[in-house]
Amino acid sequence: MTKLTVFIPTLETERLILRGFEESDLDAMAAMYADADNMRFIGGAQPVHEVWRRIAASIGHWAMRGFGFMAVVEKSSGDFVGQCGPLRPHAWPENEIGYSFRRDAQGQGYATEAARASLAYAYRDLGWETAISVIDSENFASQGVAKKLGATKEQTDVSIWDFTADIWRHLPPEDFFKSNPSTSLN
Amino acid sequence: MTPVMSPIPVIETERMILRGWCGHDLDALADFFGDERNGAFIGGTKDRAQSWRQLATFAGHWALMGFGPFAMTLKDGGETIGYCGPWEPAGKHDEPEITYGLRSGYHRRGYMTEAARACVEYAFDHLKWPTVQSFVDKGNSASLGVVRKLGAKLDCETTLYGTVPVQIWRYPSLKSAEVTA
Repeated sequence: MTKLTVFIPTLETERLILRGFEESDLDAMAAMYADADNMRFIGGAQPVHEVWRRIAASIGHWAMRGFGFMAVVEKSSGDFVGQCGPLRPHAWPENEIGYSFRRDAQGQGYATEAARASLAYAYRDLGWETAISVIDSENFASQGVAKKLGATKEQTDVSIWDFTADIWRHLPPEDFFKSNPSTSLN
Repeated sequence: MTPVMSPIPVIETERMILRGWCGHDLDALADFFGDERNGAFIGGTKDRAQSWRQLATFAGHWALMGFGPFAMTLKDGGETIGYCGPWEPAGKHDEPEITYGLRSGYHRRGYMTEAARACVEYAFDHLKWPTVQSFVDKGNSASLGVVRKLGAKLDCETTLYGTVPVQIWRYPSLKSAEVTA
């Protein structure tokens, strides 16, 4: 008997819980992916059967890499608001912090809060020494999140898979923890 | 920490070990999914990055459902030659199936039938499925050969994802493989 053992941490921030995906996240994830305009920078709208596979693939990403996307849940309501986490799919340029949020959960700093927790986890628990975020050149909301975390645009129009995007470089661990002191303690 | 633990059994057949997935199975899956002869029946080919995601999806299917496709590996040499197993991704159909795929370099030696036979038995005996079936494109003669060799009967036609026409072939209960759990 081989065991597929996947340990997915639960990260808690002031307003959010980041945890492993569950099948019950499907409806909320599918609603997020059904919003074509909101998903236009990350491959467009996806039907529910594709979203289920993405949830499965996110858990499998944890199984193979030891990290991956987590479901982000709003503490006050218990609602799924987005996904965020350390990523490295095959043929990806480097380790990245990825995030996407429901449109109605945007504009409240949730993505920044979740990405900050993910970056802290990657540096503290995974031992990463650097991290990027891959962001479409016209995705200003996502660029804003990266900027708030102290990231800077490093390369433009990089070919990845079948698209091109910009690469934003996050602060190195020491500088990140210096400017985000609360993240180093939990 | 949220531990998601799925015991993945190992099934031994005469010539193969069916087991869970590892990162080094990517070469085999990329070979299978990149082959246009296979892509014709599974919604198109996949490149290496997409094959990696499929590998992650297979592993995640086990974590979510407690069952899923196995890697088919040869006892002689250890090569991963395909995938085979119970499969029930949401939105595909309202019934689960035994899904399978064999790299083209390993056709015509009975490997697919041998692995599918073991997985059909696993679905009846361990998963307690009341009926065990595979969805087959009526133009896929290799796949039709597999279900016929296992004594499956054509039940009806249906669509996957609401759009892709396939035939439902239902298997009789078979006795063959030794399952070590």
